[in-house]
Amino acid sequence: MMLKMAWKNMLHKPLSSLLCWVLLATSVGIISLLIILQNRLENQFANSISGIDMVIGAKGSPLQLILSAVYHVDAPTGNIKLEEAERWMKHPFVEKAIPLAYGDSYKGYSIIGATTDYLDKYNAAVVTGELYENDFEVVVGSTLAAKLRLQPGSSFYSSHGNDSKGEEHRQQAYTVTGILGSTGSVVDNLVVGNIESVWRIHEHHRDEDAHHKEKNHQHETGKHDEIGEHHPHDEMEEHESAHDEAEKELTAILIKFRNPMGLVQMPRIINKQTNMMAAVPAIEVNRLFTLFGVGIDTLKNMAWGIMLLAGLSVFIALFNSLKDRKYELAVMRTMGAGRIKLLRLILLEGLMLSIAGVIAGLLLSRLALWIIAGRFEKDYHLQLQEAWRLYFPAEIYLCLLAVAIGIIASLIPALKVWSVNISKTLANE
Amino acid sequence: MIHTKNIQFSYPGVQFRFPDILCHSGEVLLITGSSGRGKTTFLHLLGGLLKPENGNIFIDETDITTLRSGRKDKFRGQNIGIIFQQAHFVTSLSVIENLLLAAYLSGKTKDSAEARKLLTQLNIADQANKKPAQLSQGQLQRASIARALMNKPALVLADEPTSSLDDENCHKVAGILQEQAAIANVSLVIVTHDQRLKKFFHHKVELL
Repeated sequence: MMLKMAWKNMLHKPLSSLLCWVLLATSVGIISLLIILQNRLENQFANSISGIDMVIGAKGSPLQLILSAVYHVDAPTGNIKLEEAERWMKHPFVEKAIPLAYGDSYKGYSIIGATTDYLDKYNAAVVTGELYENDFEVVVGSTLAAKLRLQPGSSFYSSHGNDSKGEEHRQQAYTVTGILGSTGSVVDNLVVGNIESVWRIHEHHRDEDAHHKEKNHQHETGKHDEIGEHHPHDEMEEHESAHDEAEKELTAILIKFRNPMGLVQMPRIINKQTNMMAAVPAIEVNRLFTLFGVGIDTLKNMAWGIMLLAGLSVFIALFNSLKDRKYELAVMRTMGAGRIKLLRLILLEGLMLSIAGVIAGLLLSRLALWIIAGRFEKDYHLQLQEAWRLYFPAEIYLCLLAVAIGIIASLIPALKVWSVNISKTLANE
Repeated sequence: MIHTKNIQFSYPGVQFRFPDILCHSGEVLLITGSSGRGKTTFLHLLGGLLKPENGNIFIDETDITTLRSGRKDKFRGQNIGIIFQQAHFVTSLSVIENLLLAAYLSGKTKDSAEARKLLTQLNIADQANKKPAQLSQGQLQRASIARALMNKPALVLADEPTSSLDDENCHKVAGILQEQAAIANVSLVIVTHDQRLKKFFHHKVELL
């Protein structure tokens, strides 16, 4: 009966109830969405750097190096010489070093040349087809395969750079040999092949560049002997045999140390003594989080503001309706309703509104998630498919807090009812 | 049955001494008096909405002046029906739900057959599922009589039940009150300044 009455009272003033409900739902929705995004973001970022203590790459911005080498959402800082890099890869502090060569993409998704260690690191196993064996054979991450409808046997041309409008490497197509299982990591959105493929595609490229450059050189200075291996070649085979080990380049190396000593010393040494750069993912990611954390916090504070507004509107709605209802409440007292019963009724009304708001808010955030999921996955490689669940404990706190605000807002009107003088109310008519 | 002894009450600056009254079950007692004589105050004292400074009020065997607030609320709900000058209903509930609410609030079982019977007796059964705001004044006053009788009380108090009604409705309501008091075998106490009622009821006390 009490529930029914609270419910009917709520419906009796649909507009003010609607206002409370919408405000609460909006604030809960925004905060919950932010919680989910932050959680997914931090999770995904943290997942991807687990097992990577340090990244070596060309000098530039360390954050850019991490973003490109670990997350593949930024352009590489440049290349480093394999010869020079190998010295550090074989360093006694290093437990595992995974060399990467990248910089090309297919429809905006990076193509990574790596050793199979790279796939092992992310526990990425081939589920359909086979692992690549030869040059220009690649395996494709699960999400990417589904999105671009790639199957074993598909082939495509890579394009230069990270965006889909880059110049295509027309001379050599990649062939898909296998699809990787879902790992929940960055690999799901990558194309992975061997390093040699990347080298060979760019030899040709560099070749052409060099060819032009050479002509200019000849023209200007007449000196061209020192770059012997850059003579134009029509045959790739011939070309490769002439290719010097010293000229092979890597884009980045992912390093895992044997012990913390490496982490303390090696980045400093590399940054000081070589013209390569060492960046520590944990530090850079932390820096990144503090950067966009400001944005998230601002949004969260705004949403808390909206929630306070919602509380205020619950308060005003109840307070106003009680002014209209003071006779009926007094009459209810004369019919035997104790003070506690009326108190419960008012609190129930506030509670009902806030619970309805919280539920709608949670649904709202999932709806928003569903809407933005596609774009976020494409633009930021942020996986949101499995983000529907309730987030412990943050969202639980959020719900409790929202309900608490509803209760507090209805407490003042409820206490006013507590102290009402029935006789006076009913006599002053 | 209700009887009172030496009831006194005062507001700041005003002192009331009320005459002793006695009203048996099935009888109607009319308390009249012009404005400012404390009619409503007396009614509120009888209903336990106010506490007298002195004196006793017995409803059947219970002296309600000795009951504490919570017990008194409950006793009132179960034994006293009150009809107010303005019929106040819970606006979000239908007429019949308001009747059932009276039963619920007093802790009795909700008997919708009883509620329908009362509404039929008072000739407003067809209004049962409407909201109070959709009823006319006369219909509302009849609905509040039904509500007052809902819990089969020992005492029904009516505060100016006819003052907002026209002659025709006043006539009808007076008849209904008398009839229902007899049917339900309750003591009915009416306070009013409405001269029209005097000719209907013989048992009268005037506040001076």
